[in-house]
Amino acid sequence: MSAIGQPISRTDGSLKVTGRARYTGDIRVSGAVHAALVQSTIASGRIASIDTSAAEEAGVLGVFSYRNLPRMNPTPKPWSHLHPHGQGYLPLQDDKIHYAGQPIAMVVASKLDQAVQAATLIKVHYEVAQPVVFDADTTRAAIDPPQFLWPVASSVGDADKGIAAAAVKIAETYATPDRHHNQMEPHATTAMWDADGSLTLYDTTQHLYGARELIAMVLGIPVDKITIMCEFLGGGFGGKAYVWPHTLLAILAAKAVRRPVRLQLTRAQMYSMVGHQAATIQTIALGADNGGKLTGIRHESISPAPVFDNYIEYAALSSRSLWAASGGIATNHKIVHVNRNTPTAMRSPHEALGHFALESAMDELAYATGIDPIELRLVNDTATDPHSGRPFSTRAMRKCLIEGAARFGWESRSPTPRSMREGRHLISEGTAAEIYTHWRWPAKARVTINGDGSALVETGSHDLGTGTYTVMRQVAADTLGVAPEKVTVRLGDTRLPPSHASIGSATMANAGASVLLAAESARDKAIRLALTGRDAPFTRGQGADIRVAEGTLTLAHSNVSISYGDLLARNGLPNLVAEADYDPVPEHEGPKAIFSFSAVFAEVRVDPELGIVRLNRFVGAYDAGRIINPKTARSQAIGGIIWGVGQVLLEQSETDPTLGRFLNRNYSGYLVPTNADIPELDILFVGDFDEEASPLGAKGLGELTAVSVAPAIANAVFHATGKRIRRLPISLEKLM
Amino acid sequence: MHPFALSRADDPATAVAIQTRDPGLAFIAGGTDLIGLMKDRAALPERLLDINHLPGMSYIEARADGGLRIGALARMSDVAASLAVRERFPLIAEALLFAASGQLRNMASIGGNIMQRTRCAYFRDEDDLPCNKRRPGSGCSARHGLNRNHAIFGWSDACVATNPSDLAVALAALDAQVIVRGRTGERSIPITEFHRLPGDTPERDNALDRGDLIVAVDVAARREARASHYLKVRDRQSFEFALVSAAAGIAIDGRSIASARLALGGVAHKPWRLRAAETALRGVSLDDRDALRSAIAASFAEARALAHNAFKIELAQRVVVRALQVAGERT
Amino acid sequence: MSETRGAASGGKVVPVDVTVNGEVRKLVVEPRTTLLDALREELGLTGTKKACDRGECGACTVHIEGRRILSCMTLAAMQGGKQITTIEGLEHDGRLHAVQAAFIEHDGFQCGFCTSGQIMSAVAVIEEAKAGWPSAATVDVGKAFTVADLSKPEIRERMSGNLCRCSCYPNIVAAVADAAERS
Ligand SMILES: Cc1cc2nc3c(=O)[nH]c(=O)nc-3n(C[C@H](O)[C@H](O)[C@H](O)COP(=O)(O)OP(=O)(O)OC[C@H]3O[C@@H](n4cnc5c(N)ncnc54)[C@H](O)[C@@H]3O)c2cc1C
Ligand code: SF4
Ligand code: FES
Ligand code: FES
Repeated sequence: MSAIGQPISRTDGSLKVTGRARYTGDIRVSGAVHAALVQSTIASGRIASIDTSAAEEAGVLGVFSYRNLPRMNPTPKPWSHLHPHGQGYLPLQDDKIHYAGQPIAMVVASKLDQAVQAATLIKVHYEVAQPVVFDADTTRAAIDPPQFLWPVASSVGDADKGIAAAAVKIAETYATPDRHHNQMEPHATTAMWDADGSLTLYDTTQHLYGARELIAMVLGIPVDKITIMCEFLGGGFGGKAYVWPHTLLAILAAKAVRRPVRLQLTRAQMYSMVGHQAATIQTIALGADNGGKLTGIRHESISPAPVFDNYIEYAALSSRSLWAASGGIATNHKIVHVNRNTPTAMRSPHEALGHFALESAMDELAYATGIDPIELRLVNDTATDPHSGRPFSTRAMRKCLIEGAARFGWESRSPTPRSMREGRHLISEGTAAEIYTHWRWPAKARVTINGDGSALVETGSHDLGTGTYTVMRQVAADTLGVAPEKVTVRLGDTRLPPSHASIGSATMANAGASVLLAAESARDKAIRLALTGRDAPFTRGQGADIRVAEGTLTLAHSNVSISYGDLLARNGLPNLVAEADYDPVPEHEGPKAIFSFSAVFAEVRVDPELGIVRLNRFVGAYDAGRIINPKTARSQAIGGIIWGVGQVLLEQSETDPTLGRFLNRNYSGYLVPTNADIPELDILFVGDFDEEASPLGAKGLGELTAVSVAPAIANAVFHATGKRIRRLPISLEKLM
Repeated sequence: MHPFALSRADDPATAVAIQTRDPGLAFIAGGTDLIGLMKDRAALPERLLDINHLPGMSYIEARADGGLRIGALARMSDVAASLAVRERFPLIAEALLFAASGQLRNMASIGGNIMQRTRCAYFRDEDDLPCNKRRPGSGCSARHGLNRNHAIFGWSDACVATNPSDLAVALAALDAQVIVRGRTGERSIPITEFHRLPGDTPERDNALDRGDLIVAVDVAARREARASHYLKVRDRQSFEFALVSAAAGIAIDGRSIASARLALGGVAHKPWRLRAAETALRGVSLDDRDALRSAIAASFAEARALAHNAFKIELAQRVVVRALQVAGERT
Repeated sequence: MSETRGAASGGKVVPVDVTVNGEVRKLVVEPRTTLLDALREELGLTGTKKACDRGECGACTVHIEGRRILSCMTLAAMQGGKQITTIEGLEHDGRLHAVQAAFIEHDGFQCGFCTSGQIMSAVAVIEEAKAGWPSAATVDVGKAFTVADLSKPEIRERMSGNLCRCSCYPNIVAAVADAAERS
């Protein structure tokens, strides 16, 4: 039986349910000491004086500030995924203060409590400047940023003309707040230097090789002297994909005190030492004919960035490829430089922000035209990517909409707002569609067939909870024709064959492809050996007829067979090793446009007197190509949906306007959903094998599932209350 | 955390005596508030006295007269699980069950609960932001800052914080007594007078003096106790402090209210009793929403909104109506 | 008053004996050391996680005398003589506890970082229901509660002190319901 497509339980399950899985902060290195940070309490200005003497006298191993920390090389320009810095401004290099929570000093001591306590003894005097925050005033002065990930602006056809000529027009402003990833596992680094100048790091990273490259460049260390390990990651969601200042600090501290140094961020530090999702203010204009066919889309977004970086939340990206618009589509992004740390990718980067605006506006259009929201989307479905003009590789949007609606029971919905009740509550339903970029990235893998019939997969990918250990085993097992239990997977170490960042839902399709190719290559080596090796059981020319199953090579329609073990023994080989280098054409250069799609359906319960909204049930229909493991894929989907619930109803990092700092820096103030907030979730996979996306036929899933939950729920809230909430989160005072 | 010494108290008299003479010493019970405050450096006691082993302070006594006495060291979870409490005073059980989480309720004591300090984010920030409660005279960051969660009743320019205890709200509605042992012996403080308004001294939360040890909470039988409800409104469904909460208990005569007891949480520096509304509610039918609303309005004339919490004035009134209705369904 | 070692010697280490997973462990800790830090740093029991260190997430849940508590919000030195169970002590004779097995079967975790806390909580949730404890999801707290009343809404509420940012909640509920049924 094929392992691919089976709902196999996680292979790392028993490690995780027994507490034996070792995360970065769990790894004990002998002689390791602890670093604690001092952070700026002001948001803008400079350090007038810093007195570290009391801390130095507290029996610590080292105290560092801009006055004594060695200088680093500037972060490489332009920014690249190959050497991704989280933040362009490096820590403890000068006396400037650009944001609240900026690290300004570090204490190293043998015990953590001691380091933390000594850090409180450091006296800092500031020259305080008025911080600039993201508000109505400063957004007026938004600027055009240089390109970062995608082109900043786009224009196909003449969107404004299309909108001007439209029978029905929607023009609205939507806003999303700052948010923080709040992975359960705090970022942590343990750094160790060897006498020969080599550096070993345990680091919470979603991108081993990018981190290694960036660290090498910024700290001037040869790349081949750096080893980074991360066997288990306690959640990433984009927030551990780039290199953040604490990692650099831990490395420099370890060098200075000549001891391994552990630096783990506190929960509060995770609000300023690492990235977040920046707020957006988005304007959308839609034009449509009376039949709902779009004639034009204009989508613009403004977001805050720090004074030293040009980070862009590409919210308007969503409008480039989701729907066709006969007249044209125009998008643009602007930024405002403010006193804060650098934002970063957060599930689902860019798209979850843009879709809130676009798919809310589509719902407004459905009401304006009197067309059912599903029908409206079917009318605007397209087989060609409006942005690039290329055909989509696969696009099961229609199936998502129709099968999802059927599962949900959409047809029994009464479209009139406030028309469905249950006791004190209003019950309502909303829908939205999603599109998510599919990434094609290079990756390498090595597969070894051992003499005992077992196999080893090695690749420098990561398991952030996505199930990488499990799905790679399935891919290798099927390809080699061995039972899944026979396959061991090793990830999370730069000494393994290099892979790409585990972001953007790219791991299954790309790292997975490298494992597939390496396994194919190992299998083919075995077949060649069985054809040409010592006492070969098969003869030349029979190659195409050899099947592998249950660890045995068999000639079709015969009972001639040999197990991997016997084959290796017969040839006196300990094992067979094969490597593969998956090097796909990047998505934007290929002949087809490759994206994942979905349609989602939410039923909410609104207490109209108290303004309380709770999710009642949810159906998501996803086209993510072929599903390798329905069990772990379903978990990705429920995770994404719940992220969306947090986005639309709860999450918000609040900035005090005077102090210019994030205030709710903890799990009591920053509300993520609890178990009680979440009902049953119903997941449907409707995609097919997509050969353009990956040799595995899989497209990205994890990010996709968090993209359009917010508009689906916001649309349901409108259906319940007749109130269109265009500023997230939908907190109760907005509905009272 | 900063370094401190820890010792253990074996009898109440000594505990009181030690704390009376040592301003640097704090009692620790469940630790669930104090340890958080120490980690955020909002409390820096030099010595802790572990009171968990004080004998005879963890009981739940259902008195023959229908009243209830709860030892200060009884845990929130045990009190909430007690059938006597649940039958006689459903709103106490509910106030406890809607608070914190299962793990915290197993740790947290009743005395500690009513002693817990505000959750004002400025007060709790480890960076020691301007806050008169934390550092008298440093100003109140919330007064003109982010104050959605702050008070609408009884605040001063010096402090606009709210008291976070759910239990205290239920106890206030029931006119419970806090039994305190101090340097001059035992005394009883009405819960409605236990917590203070901030005035010019927001650093003082309550009426306790140095050395005072809460030994019990006493709740007399009330005819409004059975038809009662604790309604807590918050942004998420669970594990969050109240945005607004109401404790309501009523005695009814047919469908009309014979007498009512009402207190609000999340709106003031102390549990906020709605005495004017209680009077106005007498004789009002539970089915007459408008009459309920106008009776309740009697207690809201003195409400004053801050920049971001005006909605609470309306929300609180709706919450009271709902709590009364649910309580009414319980008769 | 008995001086639990060194009232006058602020910050000095004190000896504490605790029973962890059935074994008596002699700790020597500063009074300020939380139980969580003692388990992780002194005893090397890193299955219990630190995610917030403020009582706000549940990742550090362990059992003291059979009750679930948050180890980040209590001091190790206050737990002398107590029986403590951590995730490492849940297996019996090398066999997974029913709740652990149910978490694997129902995919009740993704990254696994919250999982120790979730499982320690879940084990206690089932015991609390057996003991007749109501919850905020209980419609009438005045009535007796039995384990048969442990519905999905009840499980959701009772498990809400354990945050999961991978957001595995529906699967966690399925795992707890399954384990409760089997127990
Ligand atoms: C994440 C989180 C969420 C929470 N959510 C809620 C909620 O929703 N609703 C709610 O009501 N509470 C909530 N709480 C607060 C919790 O209920 C309190 O922390 C707890 O009740 C305090 O009790 P304790 O025994 O742990 O007190 P401790 O922390 O031990 O003590 C608190 C204070 O009381 C003093 N003290 C303790 N006992 C006595 C006594 N007998 N006599 C005199 N002084 C004494 C101590 O000296 C200290 O100053 C939450 C707490 C956390 C951490
Ligand atoms: S409201 Fe009170 S506690 Fe909050 S900042 Fe102002 S003074 Fe401090
Ligand atoms: S680490 Fe203890 S509750 Fe979060
Ligand atoms: S499994 Fe990752 S936080 Fe719960």
